[in-house]
Amino acid sequence: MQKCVRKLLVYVCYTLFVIFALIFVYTFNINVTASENPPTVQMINGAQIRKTVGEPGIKFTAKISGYEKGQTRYNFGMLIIPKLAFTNEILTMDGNYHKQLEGKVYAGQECSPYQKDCEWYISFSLKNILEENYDLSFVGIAYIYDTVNGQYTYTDVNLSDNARSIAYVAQMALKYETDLVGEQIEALERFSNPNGETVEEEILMDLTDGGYSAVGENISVTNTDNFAKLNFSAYRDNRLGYTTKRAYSNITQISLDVLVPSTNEKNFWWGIVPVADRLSENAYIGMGASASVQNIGEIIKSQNWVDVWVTLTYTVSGKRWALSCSPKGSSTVYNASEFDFSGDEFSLNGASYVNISANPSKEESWGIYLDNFSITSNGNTYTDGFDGSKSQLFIENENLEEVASYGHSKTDGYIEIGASEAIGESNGQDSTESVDYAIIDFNDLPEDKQPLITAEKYTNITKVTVDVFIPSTNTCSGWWGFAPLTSNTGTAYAAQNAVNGKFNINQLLTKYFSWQDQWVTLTYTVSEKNWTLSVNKTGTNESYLTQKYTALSSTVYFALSAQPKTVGKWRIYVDNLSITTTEDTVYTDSFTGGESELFTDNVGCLENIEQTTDVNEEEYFDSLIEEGKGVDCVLDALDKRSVKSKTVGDFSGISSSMAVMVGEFSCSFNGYKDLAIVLYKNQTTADYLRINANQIALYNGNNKVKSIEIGGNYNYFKLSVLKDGEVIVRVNSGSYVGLGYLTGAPTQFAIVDILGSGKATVTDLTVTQFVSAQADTQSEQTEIGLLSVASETPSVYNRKQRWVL
Amino acid sequence: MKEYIKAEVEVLCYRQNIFTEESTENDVVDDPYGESNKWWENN
Repeated sequence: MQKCVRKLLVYVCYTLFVIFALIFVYTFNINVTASENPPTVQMINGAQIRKTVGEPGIKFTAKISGYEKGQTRYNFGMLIIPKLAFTNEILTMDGNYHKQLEGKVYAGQECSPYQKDCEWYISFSLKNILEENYDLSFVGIAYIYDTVNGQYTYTDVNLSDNARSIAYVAQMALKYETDLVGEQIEALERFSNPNGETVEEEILMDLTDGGYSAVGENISVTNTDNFAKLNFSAYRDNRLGYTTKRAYSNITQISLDVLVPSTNEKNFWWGIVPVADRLSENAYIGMGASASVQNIGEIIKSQNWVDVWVTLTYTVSGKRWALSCSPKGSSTVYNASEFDFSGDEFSLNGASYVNISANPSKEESWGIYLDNFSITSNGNTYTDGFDGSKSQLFIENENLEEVASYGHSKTDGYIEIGASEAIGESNGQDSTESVDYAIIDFNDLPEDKQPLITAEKYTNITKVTVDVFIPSTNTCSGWWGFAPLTSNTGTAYAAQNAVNGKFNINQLLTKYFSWQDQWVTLTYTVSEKNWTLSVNKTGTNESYLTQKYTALSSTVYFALSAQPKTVGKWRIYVDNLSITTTEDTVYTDSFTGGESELFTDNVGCLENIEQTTDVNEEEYFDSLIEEGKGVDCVLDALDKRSVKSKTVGDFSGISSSMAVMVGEFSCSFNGYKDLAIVLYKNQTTADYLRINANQIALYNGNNKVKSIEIGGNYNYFKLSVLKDGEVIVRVNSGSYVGLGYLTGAPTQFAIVDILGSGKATVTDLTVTQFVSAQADTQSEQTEIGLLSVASETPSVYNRKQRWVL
Repeated sequence: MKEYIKAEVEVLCYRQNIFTEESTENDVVDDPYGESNKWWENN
């Protein structure tokens, strides 16, 4: 019995022990949870910007974990701080941000958690972003404030994932967002960097961070390693050399790779120089300073680094530039003496363009190869690998006779020295002619009258576009430009006086761009009374903005003013004037029919309205065959102007799937050049094949149907067009590709220039017309008189043989 | 209600994951970083 009682006591004691132990452990665990697992916040990568028209805004968001609705202990908030505060080491990343920010004005406040998809978040936005801050990167930093112990807990600061500028997000949206509509696009373009440059750093930093998550659709990346060639022989005394499109403020570093080829005939001075104004400098700025500014040519020579890629790194502190040079892949470093750009020659106040200056000696052939140019400004790094068809950072300065050409390929980090092509050959540009344009002759212009002014005033103009052409045959020149004016009784200088020379088109096109002998489109975008001018080569996307001018009234005449000259020849050509008002009313003047529809000719300067004389087609195409060495294909913009065209023929007698035209085409490219074979249907439809060194693409009007990547290796191809409009291309790899359909069988074709400062040389052009053919068997062919006979076998028309992309 | 674009930059090899959404602005302030408040610039 005692044994049973003892056992029972032991059992009861054990049970009580276990129960108390469990209660203790349970209680203990609850206490642990309550004291060691407070809520946490984590920033969501990236930022959002408003895409609505109006006040620009950027929003950062953080996710809250462990949040219990109704709890009162923890408050949540966020700071939005300029990224530069960290990169300039004004703030450190060790937390304690509220204390670091004491005495400073900043954006930060407590935020209300909200629930979305069963998760809790906070968001904090900056709105009314100042225009000067459009390209300023902000960092979002979320925090938790513990009201019990008065402590802040911050998210980690990640300058790649959580720093964004409104310009950058807008650029990415414009590039990838597919559902944007007109007003949204306009809003985003307004927020974007005016030069359209992508702030690369915000992408590239992720590569070294390693903490990214791979989300999104994988896209192919072309691992190109190309470079640009600079031809210093084309520099001129009175023109700035190779210069960035925009100015940069607070530059902290510039780096670039250069190679000086041993094929240079001379070793002259050249160097990297900041300049304050692109318009008023010269090619050798820097060389004439009290001491030659860091003469890179001499450094390369003294270090025996010819034919070697050398990395130059400028560390910039204010106006003092320190330079270190090192051959790629080598630990050898040459440190040049620091240079102070405070001298009068540079007159730097605020932002600077970055210029590659050089001795403008044109007697000897010399130049450099250039790659991986980067500029760090305001904490952002702008890069240019010259991998594509054009420079991202530098202006394509054709007044220097093709100083720069892009896209030359490297091998294992080095290049083939002594390439067959000379650096910077002249592109042999032809003059361009237009159909029905106005010739404006400024000779003997009376000073008391404006040359041209619209007959009427227009209210609330939103846009004016006009094409202009400055012939290089002018023997004198002066100021001329368009402007809105409130009076039609001013002097010849009226517009010049009104805008203080801001819209001096002559200076812009001849001195700055050297866009002579080609049509240039001027686009004046008007918002209320603010007029902003952009210029671009007609038919291209090359566009540059100029300064803004505020008109005196929203109801204005549109006038052309000019500086009278009595000696020499001075004229311009004008075409396609278009004035749009807020009511979407468009007033146009194409100067057809022998008179102007909108302009009043005050002084008879509208000398005549002339129609282009067509180029002798037979002679043009015959020369391809007779000379046997090709021609430079530098023609007109993609429109009906002065195309080197030829009628193909009448295909009414054949069935839809039969070939109506077969051609062979080969072309070599030097630099970037897009050209097109335009296929007209009764001269009303301009479908075209657009061709450059990398791609053949079929366009129906402005819409690309399909393209073939040809990688620069297949500059020869055979073209077939069927009666139903299908276009088949065979590249010289032997692949047949159906590109898509034209809107109809062509009746005429032409070769035209679309864009690019490079040169395309057509080395072979053969088109054969088939007036009667069957799907697989060629029964008869008629050679078009001026072209040689194609030797293609009929099987090119076998639809089963081709690959359809 | 403002319409926003969200830009997520993942890594160079991956497409930007950008999409639009209707979203509220819970907490908003005006940009305070004007000309007179550039304490974050390098001296």
